[in-house]
Amino acid sequence: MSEANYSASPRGRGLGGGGRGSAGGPAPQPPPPRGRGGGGGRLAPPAAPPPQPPPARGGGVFILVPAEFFATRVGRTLARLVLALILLAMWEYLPGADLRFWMSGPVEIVARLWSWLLDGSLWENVGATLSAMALGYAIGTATGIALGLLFGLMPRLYRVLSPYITALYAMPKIALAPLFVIVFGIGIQSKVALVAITVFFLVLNSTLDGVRNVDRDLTRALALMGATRLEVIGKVLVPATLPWIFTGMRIAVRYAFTNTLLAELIASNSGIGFMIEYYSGVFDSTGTYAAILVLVIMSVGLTEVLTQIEARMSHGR
Amino acid sequence: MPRGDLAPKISLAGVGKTFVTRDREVEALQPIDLAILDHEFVALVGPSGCGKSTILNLIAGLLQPSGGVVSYDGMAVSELNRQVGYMTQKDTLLPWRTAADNIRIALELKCRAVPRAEAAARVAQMIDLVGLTGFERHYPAELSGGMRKRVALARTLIYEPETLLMDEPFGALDAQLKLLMLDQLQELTRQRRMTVVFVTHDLGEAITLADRVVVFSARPGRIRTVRSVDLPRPRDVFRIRFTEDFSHLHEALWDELQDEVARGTDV
Repeated sequence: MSEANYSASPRGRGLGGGGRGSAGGPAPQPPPPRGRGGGGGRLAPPAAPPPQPPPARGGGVFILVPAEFFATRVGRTLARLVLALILLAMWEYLPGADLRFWMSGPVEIVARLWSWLLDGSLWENVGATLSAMALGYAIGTATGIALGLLFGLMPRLYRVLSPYITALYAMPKIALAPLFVIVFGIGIQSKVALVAITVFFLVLNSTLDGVRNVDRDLTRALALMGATRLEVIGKVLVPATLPWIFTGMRIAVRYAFTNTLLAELIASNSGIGFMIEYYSGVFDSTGTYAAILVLVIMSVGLTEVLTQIEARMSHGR
Repeated sequence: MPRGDLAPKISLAGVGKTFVTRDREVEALQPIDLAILDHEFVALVGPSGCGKSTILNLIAGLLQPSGGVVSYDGMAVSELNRQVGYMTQKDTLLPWRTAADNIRIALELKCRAVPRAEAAARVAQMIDLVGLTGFERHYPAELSGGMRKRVALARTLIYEPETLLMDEPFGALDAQLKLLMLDQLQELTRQRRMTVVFVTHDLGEAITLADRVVVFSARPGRIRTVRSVDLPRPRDVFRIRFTEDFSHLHEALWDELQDEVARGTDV
């Protein structure tokens, strides 16, 4: 109840603040004036014709100036920074003492991050998350590709096994997490197991799809030239399946990350997920937010790496 | 003239093919008899859907006949026939390999194992032969339909199979280029004494190249007539079509073909 009141009031004030900033802002707030100045200068010529001035001034300026200004790179970056500063400032200064307990504040959070950096716990936990993810991913990918190719080459074997595979694929793997904790304990093994099994099924399925979609005319053409079965596999099946395997692997990266985290949240003794779980467990909101912030940075980094790799790969093609 | 030995290289005895699609049976090829001699160049002509491609698939062992026996060197063809080089209507180039790498692929196989330098030289020679110089490093997707056909041709010719099966290899080429290709094909197949079964729509092309022209009827395919082409070799592919013998043959065969084409298009 009180939370709802609190959350309502900052929002209301926030809007008011924004309005104030645009109306009388030029003097106290440096970033907006710069933005408006640049946009105003560009807008001056179209606003110059006599019939236009009234609409251009009456609020229209506020809408029109940014529209053009935001199209530039500098404008966009500036707008983003300003937005971030406003939100951070609101987060820092608006909450009252009791809300503070739940919401913490940017300065405290950064201070906490800094202390983690200094005492090494940050790297330790980031490392734990990443190594569990990487190991599970590697195991899942390798087995997924191998079995995918095998099943693709032995369709009769696959037909026997397919109901089981479909059932396991359809099952949300996260349901296995508690089981893995019982079997492997709360160390890295249970995380690796959960990630590996998730990645395995994703990669297995895309590899199978790939093998099934190989143009039979291509394999037959090579066989007619006298290629052995192994040569047909090496020269046609595998290269033709590679794009499918890559697609599976690419999708699996995100699942691997999410599932590492889930495993850590459920039961573990290290990792970013563990930090979030731990600090929220002791009602330490600063620690929780700091860990979530680390997570955001990791996700952005991961996305960036993936984008780079994809760009590199599509160039190679 | 170059008829070679008299034992047939390829023989089809009472060979028919019926395809079963869902609840319908389609007779693609009525039982036919056809013997192709060693080193012979045989052209199969006929309207679309008369089973010409089916015959090539049967000889290559990609299909099994519904009746009769296809034999190669006196042995029934019961599995893939690796003695033949088959240039299918659809080019089966590997999209992730460049033109040159596609052409080389047969030389990479263990059954041939050509040294690297020799393979490179032969690829270069083939590329020159089919007029693709400058496009060695292009991927199939970056080539025109006609260029892809020529890559496919080079890929088939490079390993010099004793028998060539060709399914409308020059359909996508323009007239001038087609003549150049016909010339090269004649030269190569004569030099290497290949047996060739050549499917085409183009009667002129068939007469220019073949020792015998087989005219098929519209579906279901039957052999309507077989004609020997006794024009002397080597033939001048650029001028032969203006000779009198050529026009006589063309006219006679066209009379046979015309009815079938008309019937074929009615369907």
